[in-house]
Amino acid sequence: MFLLQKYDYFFVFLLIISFFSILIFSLSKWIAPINKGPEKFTSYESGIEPMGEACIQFQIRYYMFALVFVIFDVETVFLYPWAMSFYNFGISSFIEALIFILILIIGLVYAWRKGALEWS
Amino acid sequence: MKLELDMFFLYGSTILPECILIFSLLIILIIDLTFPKKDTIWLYFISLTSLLISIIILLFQYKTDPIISFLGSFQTDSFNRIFQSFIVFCSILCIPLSIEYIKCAKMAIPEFLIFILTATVGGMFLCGANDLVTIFVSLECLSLCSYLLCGYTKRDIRSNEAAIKYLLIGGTSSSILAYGFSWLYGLSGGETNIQKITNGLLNAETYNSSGTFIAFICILVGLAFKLSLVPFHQWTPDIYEGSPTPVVAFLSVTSKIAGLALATRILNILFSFSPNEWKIFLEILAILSMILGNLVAITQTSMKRMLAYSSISQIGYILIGLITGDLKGYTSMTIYVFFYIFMNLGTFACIILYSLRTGTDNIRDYAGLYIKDPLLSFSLTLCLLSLGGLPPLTGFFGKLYLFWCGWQSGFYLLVFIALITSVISLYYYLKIIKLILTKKNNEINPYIQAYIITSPTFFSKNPIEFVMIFCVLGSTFLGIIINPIFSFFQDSLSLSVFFIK
Repeated sequence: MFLLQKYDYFFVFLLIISFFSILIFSLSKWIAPINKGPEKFTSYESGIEPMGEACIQFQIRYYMFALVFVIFDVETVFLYPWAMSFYNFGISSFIEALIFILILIIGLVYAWRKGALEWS
Repeated sequence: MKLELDMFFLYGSTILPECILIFSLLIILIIDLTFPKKDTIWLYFISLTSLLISIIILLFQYKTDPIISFLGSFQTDSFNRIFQSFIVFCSILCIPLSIEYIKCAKMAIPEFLIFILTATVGGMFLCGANDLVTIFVSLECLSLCSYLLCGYTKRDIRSNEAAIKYLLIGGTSSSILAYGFSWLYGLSGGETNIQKITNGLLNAETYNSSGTFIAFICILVGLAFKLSLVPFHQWTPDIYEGSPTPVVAFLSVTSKIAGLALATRILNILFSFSPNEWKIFLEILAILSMILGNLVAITQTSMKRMLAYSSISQIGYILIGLITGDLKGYTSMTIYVFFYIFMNLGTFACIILYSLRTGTDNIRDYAGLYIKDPLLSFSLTLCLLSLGGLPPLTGFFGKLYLFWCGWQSGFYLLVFIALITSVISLYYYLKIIKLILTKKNNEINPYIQAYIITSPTFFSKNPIEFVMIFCVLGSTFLGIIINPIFSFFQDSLSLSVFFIK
């Protein structure tokens, strides 16, 4: 069906991987002892006593903080390579980076003024 | 690869219209932040001025030779320029449509304008995108703004439902599209530029493989979702019904135009080695859209749902030009899109006006509108007849050129079905018109009774009425001067990248 000659190795690997995963899971199911106890069905919370259900509702404000965080996280990713090769670039790239930061700062001021940073 | 550092100063003129819009968008944002007591007239004024400047620049540059800028990720040619100016034109018409609606629904104005402008910018970049990454990013820029606009009336549960549905469907279609892109990336040996992908596929001789076929199918499905072609159309009526009406008016034209420009570019440049293959698939989709869109529209009771199905069928007609594939086909497609802006926005202007005055969208509540407001009913009648394609109006001439080009290129089945379905479409448009015009004085429905009679001046201060009259004039009289329009578009399209080779 497939006419992709270069991908032969890929399909071989795909076959091996799927075979191995099936093999390993069935092995562990076959070998491992099965004891059903109340402790086994609780969810794992880093060693402490689990509290409440696994499916809980989050406060929506976490998302707001996460969104504002992501914007500035990405900004850092962009600015780091720019800063590393700053001397190779001319004055124009400096102005371009300033515009980029300015737009993001307007975004931050917007979030601030609209009360996205307040936890109330 | 040499890095070009002063790219903005080199290629700034190619994206100048977009830059003006981005600049005005930032100004609106700053004004909103600094002045707590808002003077909303200024915000409208700024956005409309920037859109006007942008369209003027586009019109001055409409006859450009193809320029590839920004390391090959953006291409400017006359085809893009025409479609970009269409998008800006739609935004100019849609902002006055929404002023009164926003005031009544008590929505925040600056954000609304910012979303509209961002969607416009996204659509404009999408028209000229020449790189898979640029295509995806600008497509998402356009669609994210569309989702936000759909859910703009936050308190309205139907608007929320529409926004969530649109978000899920749009996300699915984008992921299918991205999957198709990833196949192309792999098959062409790691290229994202669409001209280089074509060369890579030809060099590696993988253009006939089943991998390319999978990529083609995925990309076609993604595009069909965006254009709401028939097997992928189910989201359209729900979203049209739930969203705020001015937003629907904006989306029904802007996303269609941008999607059409994208489809034309992708199919013509990326899949230029197998034109017969994609034409067959597009033909099937177009035939299905025309038949199903028109047949289901007959049974609708809500005006907005009816228009949703009608827009599905209209995109089927527009595709005839794309399938034809020669200069005349593209010219007639461009002309029909241009006329479609007038017809569709005119119809939506009438509906917005009526729903603002009465608060209903049902078709049966339009009964006897003629007694109370002759101007509105006359405009709605003309726009609907033009959409249906009755002879002296604009829509007829647009359809005539489309069908004639399709017939000349030998797509007889397609044109035959298009002819039959446009007769069907006339039936349901005429049904509404009959409802509006009938006089039954003994049983006037309560909505018409409560209808506020406005002063019957021809040029009133109401911006919606102004846009409505403008669109009605366009959709009535533009057909008379179709020959100069046709030669104008043909001259500029012959300079585009599809025909210059």
